[in-house]
Amino acid sequence: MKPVRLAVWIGASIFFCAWQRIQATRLSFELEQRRRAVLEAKSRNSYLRLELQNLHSPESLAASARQHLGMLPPTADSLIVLGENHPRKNTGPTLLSWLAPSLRP
Amino acid sequence: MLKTRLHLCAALSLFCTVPLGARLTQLQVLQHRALSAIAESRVERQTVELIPRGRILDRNGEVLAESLPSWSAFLDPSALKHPEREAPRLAAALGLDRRTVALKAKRASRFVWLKQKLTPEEVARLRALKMEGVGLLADERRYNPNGELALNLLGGVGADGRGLAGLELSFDSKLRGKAQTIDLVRDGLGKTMTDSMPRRSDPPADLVLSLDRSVQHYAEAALKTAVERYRPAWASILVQDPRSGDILAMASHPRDPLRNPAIEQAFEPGSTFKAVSMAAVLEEGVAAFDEKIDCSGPWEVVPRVFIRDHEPSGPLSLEEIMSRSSNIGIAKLALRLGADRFHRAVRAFGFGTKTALGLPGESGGLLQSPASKGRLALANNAFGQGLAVTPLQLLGAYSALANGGSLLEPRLVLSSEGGRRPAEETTGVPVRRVASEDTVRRIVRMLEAVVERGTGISAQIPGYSVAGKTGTSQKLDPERRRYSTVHYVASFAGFIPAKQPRLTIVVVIDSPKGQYYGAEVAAPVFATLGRQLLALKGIPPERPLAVRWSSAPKRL
Repeated sequence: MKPVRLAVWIGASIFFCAWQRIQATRLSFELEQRRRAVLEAKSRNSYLRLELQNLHSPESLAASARQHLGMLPPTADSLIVLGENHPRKNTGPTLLSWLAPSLRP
Repeated sequence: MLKTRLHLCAALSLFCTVPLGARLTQLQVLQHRALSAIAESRVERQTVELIPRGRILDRNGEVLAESLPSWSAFLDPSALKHPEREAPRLAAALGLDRRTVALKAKRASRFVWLKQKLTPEEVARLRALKMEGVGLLADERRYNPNGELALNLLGGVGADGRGLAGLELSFDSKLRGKAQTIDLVRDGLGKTMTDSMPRRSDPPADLVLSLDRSVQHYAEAALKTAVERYRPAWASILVQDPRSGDILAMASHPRDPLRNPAIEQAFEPGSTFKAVSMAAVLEEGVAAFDEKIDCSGPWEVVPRVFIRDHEPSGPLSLEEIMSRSSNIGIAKLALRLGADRFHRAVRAFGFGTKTALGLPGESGGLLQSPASKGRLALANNAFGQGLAVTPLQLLGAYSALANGGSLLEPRLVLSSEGGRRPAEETTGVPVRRVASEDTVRRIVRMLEAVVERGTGISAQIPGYSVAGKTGTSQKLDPERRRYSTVHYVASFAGFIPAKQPRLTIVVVIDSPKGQYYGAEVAAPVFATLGRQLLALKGIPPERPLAVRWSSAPKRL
């Protein structure tokens, strides 16, 4: 091999090694930055999840239902059972029975 | 001539190179170690990352306690260039008092805590300042997303991340977070990169409890109402699934992470204990089911000591003794049984020994040995005076009656290895059989009679069969060494539906103000909570409810 060609090869190899080293360092810094970003995002996600759990807690839901919707827990006399002898059961035409004749082909 | 010039050039070159070579040798060879150490100390850094403490979940996977990464800020006052200008900025970023920060900035020390347990927003604001002398240390913070729900049971965690009380203490070694050190390399601009990737470390296991967050919420709401009304010294409500022994709720007053009256507080159970005494009587066959016992009083149990019933009665059947809560009747039956057999039966129901829960501070209650038990002590024990039990033990005894006579280990932790157990599993771990099925059937019938037409009428739940017993016990006055006539413990223990029990509930209210009878104070709490839990669990009514015809507007 001619000395000039050899010198070029050596020079190119040195340049490649240096470039590779710089790239590795740059990527390492980037990797660390990403790792930190992931950790911070995970942490942020945890806090948001906690906030969601806070909002879903029975106490929080009960307070919201009471304040914003005016809801109350049912009491014993809140339940109305329509039994067989209910006066309003089967006494009078329903909307469907009224419409039935006009719906027939 | 040419040769001379060449020699001159060579000499000049050597003259420059030799000192350079010597200096290089000095730096690279002679001072290599010292200089390398200095360089490394300026370039290499170590950081600590925390794997947070394990979570505590309820039986449905809802989070009861969770640790999140947090940070604590510190200050090196000597590194501040203009403390008078930088202190107000720091105070604003951290939401601290300006004067406090200014004083800290003037301290001679090189390390001062600025604020611990920072929020992510505070951390972001602090980082944005990019201030010399201010640092952040990784930390963790324990949160309870449901506020103070189950606080007495969960316990607390100290500033160092270690469990201080309750479940946090019992399972500290499994829950505790870990710290891992990571080597970093820093460049001249302060940017860092990992020198070696951190080893993956397994996070601590989650603790899955048998508790049901919704049941706990209802129990605490019922307890809060009772506490506001009766202002007791302490109170507890426990809910258990009698088929599996799973504790579904454990609510206590006062709310204190360091105290859990439900397991620590032993009290004289009063008449709620009569179910246990009667079970022993029936199991040993010392009285026939249809036998009548003379309960007219006052009855002189030993010379000059009388036992009275709260309302005078004549001959009563065993069922009437229970429904009218006759002290005389149950005392006479216990005396027939004798101290040995009574003591054995009581211990079989789990009284006098700690449960297998393994929570710190649990009391085993207080039982007198049969040898030291005289006639009076045995008579008193029969109606729940002169012995002490914990609310948890009473719960276990009533669950044994509810499930057909098998005492089960109370279960609070479904998994401490992070795995989830199916919430619908209904098999329990039996400790022993406490009574035959026939005896238990009769006791359940008696307890139903208590609620249908006896002292426990206020525990009725429309549409459902309820089995239970009221209790009103006098408290011992330590100063007078006699039973107090002012302080009582009101209680109610029972299970619903009585035919196919799904829930055992114990309500204990110590020293209520105003009213004090178990029937007036504890039984209504049982009924309110029972109705809510039956609806929550979707357990349909056993019989038609009393119908209230709708008074809805006629025009729709």
